[in-house]
Amino acid sequence: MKILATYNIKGGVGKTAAAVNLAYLAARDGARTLVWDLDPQGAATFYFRIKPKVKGGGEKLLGGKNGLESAIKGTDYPRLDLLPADFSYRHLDILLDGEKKPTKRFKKLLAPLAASYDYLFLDCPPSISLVSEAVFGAAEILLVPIIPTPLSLRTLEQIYAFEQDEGLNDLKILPFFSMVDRRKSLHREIVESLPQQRPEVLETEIPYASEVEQMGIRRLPLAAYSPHSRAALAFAELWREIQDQLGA
Amino acid sequence: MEYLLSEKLSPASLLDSLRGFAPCKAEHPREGRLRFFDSFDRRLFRQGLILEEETQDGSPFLQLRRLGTGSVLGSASGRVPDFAEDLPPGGLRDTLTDILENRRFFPLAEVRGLFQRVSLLDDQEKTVARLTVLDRLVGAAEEGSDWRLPSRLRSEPVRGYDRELRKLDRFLRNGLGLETAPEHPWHSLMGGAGCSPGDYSAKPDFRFTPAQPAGEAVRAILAQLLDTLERNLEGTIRDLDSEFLHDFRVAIRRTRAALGQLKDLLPTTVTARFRPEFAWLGTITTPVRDLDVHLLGFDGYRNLLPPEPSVDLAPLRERLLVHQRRAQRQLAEELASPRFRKLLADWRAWLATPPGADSPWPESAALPVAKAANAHIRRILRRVLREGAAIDDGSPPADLHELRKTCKKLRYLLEFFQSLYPRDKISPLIKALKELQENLGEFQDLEVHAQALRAFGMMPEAEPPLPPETLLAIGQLSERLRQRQRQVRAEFAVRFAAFAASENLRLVHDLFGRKP
Ligand SMILES: Nc1ncnc2c1ncn2[C@@H]1O[C@H](COP(=O)(O)OP(=O)(O)O)[C@@H](O)[C@H]1O
Ligand SMILES: [Mg+2]
Repeated sequence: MKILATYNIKGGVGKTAAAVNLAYLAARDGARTLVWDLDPQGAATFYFRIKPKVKGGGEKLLGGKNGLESAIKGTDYPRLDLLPADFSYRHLDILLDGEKKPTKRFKKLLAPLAASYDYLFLDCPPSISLVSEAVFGAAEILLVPIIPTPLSLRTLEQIYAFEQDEGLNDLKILPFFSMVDRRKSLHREIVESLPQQRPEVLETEIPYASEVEQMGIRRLPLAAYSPHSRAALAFAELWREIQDQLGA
Repeated sequence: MEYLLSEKLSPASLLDSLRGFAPCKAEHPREGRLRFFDSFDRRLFRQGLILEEETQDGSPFLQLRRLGTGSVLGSASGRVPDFAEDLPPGGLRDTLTDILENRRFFPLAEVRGLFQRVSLLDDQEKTVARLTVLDRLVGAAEEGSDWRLPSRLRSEPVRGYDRELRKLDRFLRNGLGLETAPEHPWHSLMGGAGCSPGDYSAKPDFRFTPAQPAGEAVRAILAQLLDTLERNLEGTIRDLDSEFLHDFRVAIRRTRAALGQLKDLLPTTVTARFRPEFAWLGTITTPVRDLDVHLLGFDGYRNLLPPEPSVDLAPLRERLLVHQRRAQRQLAEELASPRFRKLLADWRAWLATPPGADSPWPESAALPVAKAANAHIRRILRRVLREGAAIDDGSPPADLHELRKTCKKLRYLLEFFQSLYPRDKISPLIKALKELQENLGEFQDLEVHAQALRAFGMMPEAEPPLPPETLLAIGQLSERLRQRQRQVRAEFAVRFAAFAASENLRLVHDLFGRKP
């Protein structure tokens, strides 16, 4: 099972849009795919029309035997399942803090899922916390959406600094540009210049597009209602690029 | 779950009834096709599995299903490739390569029809169960003619909505009176074509009663071996995968062992006529098999070397492939030759001769098979023990090779006649022999590999020379193989002692009488 996380310290940058749309593409191509909506706000859960509720809450998930497995819900799409958000996830930190080795514990928690899934997408809440630390330890790839603004670049540097400090050598950080508006010269400039310092930045950029916003109204992944739109094609291209990285 | 739709219930009225039960979203029916795949020797079937390739609108999709429940174990988009290792990376590829190894996929059957997908929804318009109506089904197994199959309804769970699925299944069974389909459509098609799904096994199954005349028993063994040989003939000629030739050769070796070890139970005219012919068949199939063994072992070779020289081996693989294809062409010609055709025809004719209607049989052929089996097994066992005991640390490889051949003969005799003996005694003995054979087999294989590699390193002038770094890598590899061979050789004494241990000799005594 390949574990990918969508992460940024900032909110509203396109983490959930990426997790939902990429997971949809993975499942459509035949892979058994699970999204864990770790954000207590439950945006991913909302998109899949599933109740943001887990019996027993985060405590049960982390504590009991096959706590995760029994909470999983299938989505509208074959092979694509969701581990829903729950409001109690806002205390996930405290729950993990009670554990001796939070990262190890988290990994162990995910291990049994490998029998049932080819991909696991972790849709993270914004912030740096014990949860994100555990996610960094468990994930193979960290997908970081960045809106091309100076402030976003700073948060990206913070993520790299964190990686250095923690010695997360197994983690592959893959930033990509999100909500890009080519009419803005600032966006254009950053999109051109950042890859020179950070060659690992993915080539595909996700454009700013109203059809992506529509996901919230339709409660569907983008490709399910607008498969040929520019943004949908961009997500497909992004997914191909990520798969290449997974193969490499 | 899979249900049969009776003639009376059309898909349209089924949908109407479903709508009365819960909100549904139905797609348009579309032309679709399901193809069912397994390996020639039905490895998936033996595990209760089948690989389905579903095509609608020209985009194929694969699902590995359990035959009973229809549950899906893995999936991928794309069509079925020749070999499992050619699947896209993922769980499906891992599972299938584990099961199929180097066996290719075979299309066993296909059905075509109108497929309609239906989603059962909850009050949020969220899917809670999935259904597919498979209507107007026609299909065929292998090359058989088309059959009409009753329409089917497949229900598939959505995870976390078990209650909804149970309710749906209850409704389908009790509310609509649908019957669950007793078998997978593939089985129905095979039945229609007069085959059974698991009708090929590389392992023959010989069954005798102790009092049966020995000569007839041997003829029955030979007839079954010819069946195996013929079933693998086409795959061998076309080189569909390397297992065909392997099974083909095992059938030849077993035939030769029977003709040689049991010759006193057969007419002398028969052994005199056919032994040289089967020896010839063994010889002409050897070059391809040797090259297959190299190619199959290639990844193993690479892993024996550090990364860089292992890359340098690539030209060797190319070279092996060229040789394999050349040898394969030659083999295919031999197997199309009048000599081979005549061998098959004459052999089949003799095997089908009714008892008493052919050349005179020796008197011993009338002995009860149990008695004859005991005597023959005892004799060859004695030889194994004698040859093995004579081998010490200084013995030449040829002695081990000889013992290996003797062990094979013993193994074949044990397998021919095992139905005559209590299982709890014969099985442990076969197992002990197998462990000894593994040691001898690995030793001999390493010998062959190392020799062949040297030969490749000193390729005749007729071929372009291999690059120097490849020759270097070959040299390193030969050295590794020699090291491993020394290890295996050092283990021989322990393995042989374990085989000749007193508890096994006691088994031998109980099984075959007298001291071996
Ligand atoms: N490429 C895009 N173009 C336009 N709007 C977008 C795009 N990506 C996301 N959005 C919108 O921006 C908001 C935040 O996106 P979201 O993916 O939820 O971010 P995050 O998960 O990082 O908080 C949502 O309303 C979403 O519909
Ligand atoms: Mg989010």
